[in-house]
Amino acid sequence: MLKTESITLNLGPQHPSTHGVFRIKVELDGEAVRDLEPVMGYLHRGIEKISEDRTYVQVVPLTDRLDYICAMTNNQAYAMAVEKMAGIKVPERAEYIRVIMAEFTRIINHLLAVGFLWNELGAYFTPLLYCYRERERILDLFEKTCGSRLTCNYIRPGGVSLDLPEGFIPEAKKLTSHLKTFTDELNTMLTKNEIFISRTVDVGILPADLAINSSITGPMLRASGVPYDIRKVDNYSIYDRFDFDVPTCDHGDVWDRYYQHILEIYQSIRILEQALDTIPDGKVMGRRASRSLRRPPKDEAYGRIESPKGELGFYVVGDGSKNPYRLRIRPPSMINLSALKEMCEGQKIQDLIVILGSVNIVLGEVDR
Amino acid sequence: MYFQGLAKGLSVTLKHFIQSYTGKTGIEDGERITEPSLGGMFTVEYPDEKLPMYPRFRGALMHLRDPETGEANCTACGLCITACPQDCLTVEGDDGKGKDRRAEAFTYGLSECIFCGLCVEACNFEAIEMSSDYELSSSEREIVWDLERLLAQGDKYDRRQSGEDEEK
Ligand code: SF4
Ligand code: SF4
Repeated sequence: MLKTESITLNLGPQHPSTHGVFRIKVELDGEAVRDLEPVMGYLHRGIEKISEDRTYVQVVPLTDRLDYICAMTNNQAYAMAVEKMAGIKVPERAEYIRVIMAEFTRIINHLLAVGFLWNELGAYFTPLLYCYRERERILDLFEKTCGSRLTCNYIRPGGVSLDLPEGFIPEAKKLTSHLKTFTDELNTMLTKNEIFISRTVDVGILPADLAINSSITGPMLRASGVPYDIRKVDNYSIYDRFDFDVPTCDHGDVWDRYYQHILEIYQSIRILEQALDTIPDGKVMGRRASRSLRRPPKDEAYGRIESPKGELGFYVVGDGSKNPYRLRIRPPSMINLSALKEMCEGQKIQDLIVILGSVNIVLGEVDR
Repeated sequence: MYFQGLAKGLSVTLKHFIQSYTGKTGIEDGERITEPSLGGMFTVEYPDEKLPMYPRFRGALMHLRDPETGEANCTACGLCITACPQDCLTVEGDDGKGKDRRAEAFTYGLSECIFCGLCVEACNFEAIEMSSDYELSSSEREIVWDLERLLAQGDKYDRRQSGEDEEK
């Protein structure tokens, strides 16, 4: 057989399909990927270290900048860790608002995941911009509620910073039913497209045991057939009050990971419908929250949520002062990348881009 | 073989193309139209057309005046300074005591501000608010606003003066 020399190719750090600054060193044998090494750290800002000399509330704006697509869920995970450490109770209405915001964020993230995957397949920006348009409507709601579209700084230890503005609930209900129509449209337009199927089925297969061993979480794990969702496992916040399923796919290829996102949008819409119907009145900030944060206990806690990308955890160690002694972040994007090599080996170079797109990383979170 | 998917995709494109002429989304009478069922053109032609901002929008900081005396509300208590995560505020007070004290100087480092709004939440005297100003580019390297500039910003953007009450 003809033997050819392999070549090493640097993909990135500046590459449109890496969604940021991410480098992959690929060893190619002709068109096939023989070896691959992800290189990260180009967006490292030292968020964990900076947090150590900020007060507990001042860390919240920093968490906005981790996964900048899903600021609300980052806020929520951090707030939950601090609440667990300091023993703060969250009012009922605030919990409902958190669930509503988190599910809207999940829809945003999943829409963008689908849109960018299509972008990488060469459907240049048309599906993505449809998704962006719907995201815009959700961001409008966020802006109305907390004053900012991406860096929300809204969910705080103890509750949420402001109550919902007037007219939020009817508007959100309208939007939810609209999103359902839109997802139907997206689904009929994209899912069964022949070109899409021929590019994605059986590409980048992630077997369930490998996914579990690499501690991959979120839609990627569920697409491989493991029904693991922290919303169900931990029943944190008030997720036990809502009726929703954990959808799974069984094959773990790129198509499954795409379809998993669509299925989860429907579940988020189900949760939103229930939450918007049953939200009670009341306070949105715990009474003792600011006092207990002025004198927090000497303790440590790990808070985790099912963020749109997987398990997002914050480990907070407090030494009794106003600042956290140490803050450790478990970012789902970075850990989901750990099986990239196994998924790509033996595939074609053009499939590498598609596989990376289906992992759905955000570099702000990978590098912190 | 690929024709079906292509046709389906293009039919959606065609639908949106028609909707962009018949729909209603956009700005009407200075209000954003957010009704999703209306459909239509989403693009705002920015410098010619501007989206109205919501009352809670967090833009550059501004100082508010006491409506009766016209003086700045700020009492130089320093709460906003401890609340700011970026250390971009400074204040100096005069010799007065407690509530009678007035700020003589106040600086706001616009280039460092991350528009988090924590300073506004900390203030007990309704002295500062976030304005809805988002066009903040400047040809200077460091932009530091003093009290005068902040009060001018307040005169321009304070919603209480223009009659629209801010719901909070
Ligand atoms: S703006 Fe408010 S918090 Fe800041 S010094 Fe003045 S009165 Fe105090
Ligand atoms: S908005 Fe945030 S960063 Fe800006 S001055 Fe206020 S507290 Fe500081």
